Amino acid sequence: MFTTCMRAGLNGIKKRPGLVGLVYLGNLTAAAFLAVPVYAALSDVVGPSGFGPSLARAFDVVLWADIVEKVEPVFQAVRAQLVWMVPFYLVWKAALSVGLIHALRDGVVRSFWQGVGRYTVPATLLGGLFLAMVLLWSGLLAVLAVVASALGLGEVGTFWTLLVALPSLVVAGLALLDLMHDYARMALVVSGQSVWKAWRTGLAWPFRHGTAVGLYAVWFVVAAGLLVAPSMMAAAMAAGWGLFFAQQLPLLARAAVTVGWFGSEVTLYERVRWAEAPLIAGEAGQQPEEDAPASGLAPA
Amino acid sequence: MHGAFRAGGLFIKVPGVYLARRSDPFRLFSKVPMYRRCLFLAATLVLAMPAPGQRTTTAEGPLSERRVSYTMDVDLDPEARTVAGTQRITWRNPDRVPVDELQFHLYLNAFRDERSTFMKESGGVHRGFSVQGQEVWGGVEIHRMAIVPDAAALPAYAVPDAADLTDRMTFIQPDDGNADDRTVLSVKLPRAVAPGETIALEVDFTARMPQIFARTGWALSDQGNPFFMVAQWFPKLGVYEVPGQRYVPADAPQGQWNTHQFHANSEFYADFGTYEVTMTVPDGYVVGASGVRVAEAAADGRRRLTYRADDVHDFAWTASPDFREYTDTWRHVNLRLLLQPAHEAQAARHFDAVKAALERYDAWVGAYPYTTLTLVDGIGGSNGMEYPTLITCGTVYGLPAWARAVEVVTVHEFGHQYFYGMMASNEFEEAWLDEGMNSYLEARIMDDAYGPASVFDLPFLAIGDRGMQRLMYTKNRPGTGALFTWSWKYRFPGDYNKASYAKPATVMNTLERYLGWETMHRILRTYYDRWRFRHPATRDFIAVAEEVAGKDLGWFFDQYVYGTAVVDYAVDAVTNEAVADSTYRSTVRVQRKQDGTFPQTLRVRFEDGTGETATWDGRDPWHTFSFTHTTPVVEAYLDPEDVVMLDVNRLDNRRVVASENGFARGEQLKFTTRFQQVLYFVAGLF
Repeated sequence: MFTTCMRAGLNGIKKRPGLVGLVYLGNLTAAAFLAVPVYAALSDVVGPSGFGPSLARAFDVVLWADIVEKVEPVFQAVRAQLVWMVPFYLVWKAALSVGLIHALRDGVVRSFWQGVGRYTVPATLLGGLFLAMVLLWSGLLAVLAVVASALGLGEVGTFWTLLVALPSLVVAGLALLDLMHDYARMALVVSGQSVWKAWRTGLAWPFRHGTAVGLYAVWFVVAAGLLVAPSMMAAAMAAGWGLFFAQQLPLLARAAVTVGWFGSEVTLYERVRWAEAPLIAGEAGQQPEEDAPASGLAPA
Repeated sequence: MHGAFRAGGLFIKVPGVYLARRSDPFRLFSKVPMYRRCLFLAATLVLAMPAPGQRTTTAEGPLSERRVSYTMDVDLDPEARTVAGTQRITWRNPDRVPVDELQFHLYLNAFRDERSTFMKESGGVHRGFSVQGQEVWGGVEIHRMAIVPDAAALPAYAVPDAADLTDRMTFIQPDDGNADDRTVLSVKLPRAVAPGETIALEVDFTARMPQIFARTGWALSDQGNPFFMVAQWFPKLGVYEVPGQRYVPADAPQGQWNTHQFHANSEFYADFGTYEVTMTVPDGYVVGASGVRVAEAAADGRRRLTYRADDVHDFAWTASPDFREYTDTWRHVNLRLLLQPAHEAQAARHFDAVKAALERYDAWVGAYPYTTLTLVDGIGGSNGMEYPTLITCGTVYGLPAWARAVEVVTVHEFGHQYFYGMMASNEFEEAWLDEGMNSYLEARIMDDAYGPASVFDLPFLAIGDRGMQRLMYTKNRPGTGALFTWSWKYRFPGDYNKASYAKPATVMNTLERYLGWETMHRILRTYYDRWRFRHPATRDFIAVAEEVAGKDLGWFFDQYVYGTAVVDYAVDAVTNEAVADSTYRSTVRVQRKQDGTFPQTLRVRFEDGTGETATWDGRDPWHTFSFTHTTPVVEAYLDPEDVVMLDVNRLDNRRVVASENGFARGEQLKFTTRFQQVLYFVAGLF
């Protein structure tokens, strides 16, 4: 099952390069949009000074302090923009996810935008539920951190608890919630479940299907490696367009990972769904609930 | 318990070693069986033999005037958290007139209750550590003070009767009149001490150590064992300044005591002398102390250790059963490192840092004359302090190699051996002469030993110590807090730290760049050679600087040491005008934006790639430079060598005619990639 799902994810990348391009361009556009104020501010402040070349060669904390002092109003404007950018980003993320799930399901070609149009609203509501869980988890760990600090664990104990164990718990918890969120979205899109039911399906999924955890872990490691790669390249190469284009290669690969990741998870979800479908006709809860595969082909 | 130490006073001299002999050395252990007493005596005789390398300094004779001497025999009681015993103090009147009063610092009384001047000023918070817990308070109590004969010093002070001074002790508050402050003690003598005469006192005292939040006291280690940093712990004479010394006029009829109360923002000032301290601690405790260990004995679960330190002005020690001990040597100096168990992996970092400091102080300032240096890794607020031949460093478990916090603090605290230790300026009144000069050399050593990224050494964040100091001054209200200010008289929070550390470091860096390192090097050496062991004042340093530099530097010190002038120069405008074929007249208008003045150099670059340099005294608010050349000026750069590190905004020192946006474009690309990474990461989690 694991190998099949991985292969399906990789096939998804191969078959749907347009989706990879969409994910990549969406990410690049948002990042470029955020970086515009950086150019505007530095161009305004550093450009007339002539310090640019020396700043490009080496980090100078004193000059940077002067720059930050002068561009503070620009950063204030950027911070103010986050008020609408963060919610917008969350909605976009919900739309992107359900669009990808819809486009990759059944092993047939479906429209990404159709998925976006149909499922963005319930997916956003679903995202709200998971966001609440993320906040709850973060709050719980914050309380745990306070308690651990007060316990008098000693310097070594505090180090391992606060700087190793708790951050690991944060990442593990968020990853688990993300995994649940993925399958909840699939329940929403593939099974046509309500937001509430999809949420419960998502919560139960990783505990019922170990393969889901394995798939998530493998894609997570690949994605993390690709995210670190641009930083390692920056340490090895001179800044400029050459570095920028070189860094785009792992970031493009990271976009492909998003498509492959969803492809693998959708495949797993559908195979489990078909495997667990009642064999006797007329039994309650029989599949498919919403739209059957257009090709009529279902995973064995 | 202190009564056990009253009697005695006989001292026998073993070659190179002084051993305190009490009338009954076993009174401490009165319940100890006789056979164990014999074992104790045998152990004492064996262990008290002089060990090799017991000289306290490399000098044949005294390095200082040695106006005072302290001999103490004390007992550490970990349960009661007290250090109790007897001290014998001698003081020689250095004045040309009789002196009828003695003044003492009782620093530990700052922690007596919340009404002391220290506690009122600090609010119970010091360097981020605060008073907390049930057994917080401490203090020092004098049970008896008496004049005793001193046959060793001639002429010796003696009175026919009234040898007991206990009833003559009164607390005084010379700085703020806070009647609840008991950190300065005055003792009126029955007869004045004649010029050149030496008075000897015997004092029985108990020091109750506070829970550490400011330098001294006790704390429980992670292992649950007590840790003691025994500092500012004994009744200690103030400094009697004679006419002509520091700010006492040379023609004054008599000198005066300079004994300030203990303030939240002040450190210490004391006279040089000799110290011999015998401390009894529970067996299993590792002890570190100022000076050289000259005797050791053990019996019945207790250890008696004797340390001697010469030509120093304080004595501190530490004791804990948890210390892990490491030793090393640097030339004539025995290095001893006492680490908390969790920090053992960082032993080499401590030694590397202190050797880097020893090497450079020796080359740049002068020789380190002492034969020992003990580095202590204390707990909490005890760290980051200096005592003669003993420093507390402090680190944290898991400190990564790229964050050189332990190196910075080690180099800094070692530097105090020169400015606090041997120069011994008055830190109450002129803290910058110690902290500031030390911070200047700390940054120089760190950047020299560890490179330009001496503090943070990451691929994307490389910060040197000098840059940090400069930042902490220029971006922290640079117009408030003069260096020359009594330490408790700064008006704004944070001004003491800025004006004692970062600002003087930046002032000295600017002076170095203005005069050149060769001249600065000679200034440092001359200052050290001339003033070590003599308590120099600000004007003494200035006199040395002007003498060595061969120029009047009053304009510099008046503005940046005595005053709060702020330097900010800017290139305001660059204009080019074609006056003939292939001839351009260019003007560069520069501005002095604040009150500080400094001679300036302007470098212009012409379109054909050639350049020209011009100078300006920097005094007028505006100044216009004119140039005639075959091509127009494309860039004007004030202070291109970055001499004036005091300039609070360097960005406006430079201007190009055509804006160069390559850097902004590069940063935009860099940030685009970083935002892409962040967005992918966030998208992966939500």
